[in-house]
Amino acid sequence: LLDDRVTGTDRNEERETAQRAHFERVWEQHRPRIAVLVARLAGDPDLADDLTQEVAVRAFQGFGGFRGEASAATWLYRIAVNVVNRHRERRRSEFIPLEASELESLRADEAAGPEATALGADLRARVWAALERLPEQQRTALILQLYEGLKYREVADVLHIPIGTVKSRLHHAMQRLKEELRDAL
Amino acid sequence: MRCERARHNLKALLDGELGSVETWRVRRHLAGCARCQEEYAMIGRLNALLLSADLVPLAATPAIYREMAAEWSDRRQRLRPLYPLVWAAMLALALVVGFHSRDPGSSNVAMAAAIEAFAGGKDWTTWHFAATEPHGRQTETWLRRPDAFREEIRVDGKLIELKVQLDRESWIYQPGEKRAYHAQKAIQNPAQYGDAVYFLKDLQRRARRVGGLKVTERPDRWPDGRAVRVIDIEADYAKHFGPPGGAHPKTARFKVIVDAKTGLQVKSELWNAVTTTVAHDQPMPDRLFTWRPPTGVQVTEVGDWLGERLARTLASAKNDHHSLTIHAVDLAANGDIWVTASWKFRDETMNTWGTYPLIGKPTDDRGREYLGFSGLGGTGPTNMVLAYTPRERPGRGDSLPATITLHHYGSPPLVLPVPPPAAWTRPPIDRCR
Repeated sequence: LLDDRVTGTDRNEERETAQRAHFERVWEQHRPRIAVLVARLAGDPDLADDLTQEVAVRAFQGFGGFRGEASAATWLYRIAVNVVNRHRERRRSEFIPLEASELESLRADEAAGPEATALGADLRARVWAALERLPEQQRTALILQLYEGLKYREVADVLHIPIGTVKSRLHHAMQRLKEELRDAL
Repeated sequence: MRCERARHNLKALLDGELGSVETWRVRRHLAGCARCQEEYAMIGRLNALLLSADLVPLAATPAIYREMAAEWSDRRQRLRPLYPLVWAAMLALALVVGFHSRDPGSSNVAMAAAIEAFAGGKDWTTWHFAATEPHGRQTETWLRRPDAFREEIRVDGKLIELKVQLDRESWIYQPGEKRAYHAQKAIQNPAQYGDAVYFLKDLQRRARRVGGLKVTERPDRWPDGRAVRVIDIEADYAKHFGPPGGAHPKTARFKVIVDAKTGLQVKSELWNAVTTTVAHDQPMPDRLFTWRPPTGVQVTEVGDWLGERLARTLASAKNDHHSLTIHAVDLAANGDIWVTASWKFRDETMNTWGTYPLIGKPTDDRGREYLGFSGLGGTGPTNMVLAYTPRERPGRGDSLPATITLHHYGSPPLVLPVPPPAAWTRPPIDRCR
């Protein structure tokens, strides 16, 4: 009886080890993209490491229920969107939001270096401030489509919404941004 | 179709996300409505502006480039010859990244010595060295300042490529293919051979911002009795090159051994390549750098591909930060589009290697999108050939693109004619950035 139990535990451990190894392979393959997505969604590259770690933890917790390699990217994108949005909600309730002008000057300071000056730190800050002011749903859809390069169908899959809704959100996001950034266009 | 409905679809049209009937409807409306046309152009400009304002700094791009390289290796075997260019472009891109000054630490002197040694050191007249890489690839190189170089690449002892250059005459010979390329143009600057020096400079620069670099130096004696300095460079892989794991080590190690007296490179180990100096300052006669095609070898005259293009002007654009000139558009046989461009930033400090204007996602008149995958430079820091590949593999019997639209931030999109396809799939330019 004792021997059986030992063997049973071993088998469980083996299964766990195999699952962990499988998860690590999937995660390693997608991590670079997820980290970049998280940085963009969070609007702050400094937060990317921590939040990406959180995505990994949540993904691992849910990995047992995940089937099929083909949609691993979609599945991880969805977790990333949820993690970052939850973080942003938390942050919104904890902090009084900065005025746009404060945010702009803050970002302009942060955005030192030639890669920022290529566009002009001021304009880059304005663009991101404008993105920050978009309704969350429009902002998420736009980041997925524009910066992550997802097709509308893929955005729809990640956000669990109809493709027509993706099109609408993107259209409305562009309309708002156009108004805000009109003089720069 | 009414304006309101057309406008609702403009973003999707720009993204190539409308069905063919809807695309036709919107395009038909646009053809007859100046206001919607202006709105469409504005959406295009906004798209380009948003893209060029991406928040993720270039420091994060090695991971993306690696991923791109992996995608290509899966799907696009045809791009294989370009990988080295992509990596070089990645390194060059990383050079753009700025840094906040931090204490550079005492290892700076050793790092500077390593960088100088990689560039060949200061006062050599000739340098003969050999590099071995995994998979049995060996490269032997002879450099003579200021005008000549020779490179022999062997795999398992068999010569697969020979390059020679004397003054302004160059040959590239591929014996396996029985082909040779001939140009009345220098294809290398012997004094600035190779990319390793850029790589180390980049590492040093980035370390000032993110840390993760340890450089140590110790004296040693080379087998021939010379005093040497062994410089060990350890870089935190995650901080400098992307996430570790799999085949990637936690710490990337490089080694440079320099002659203690002259500062010239004796040996180096960079990634998997081990380079050993055969000799410095040995006489190298002209005949080492000349070559004549044996019978049966097909010779292609390369001409001054880039110079010829830079002499033309196709379009120009201007914004608050720079002026941009498009000199030529070439369609390669495999569907890639190569755009020869030059620019001038208003801020003079930007007119340097590694910076270039941001040009958004190109599209062609068939509604296809292109991805930029390489930048080949240039006769100087302010011009280069931008290479784009179609996002979707061209199908059999596809029509050819007639125009390509480049979205340049701060000015209207540039619509450029695409000439009939050329026979080549890669311009004969051998330097990259």
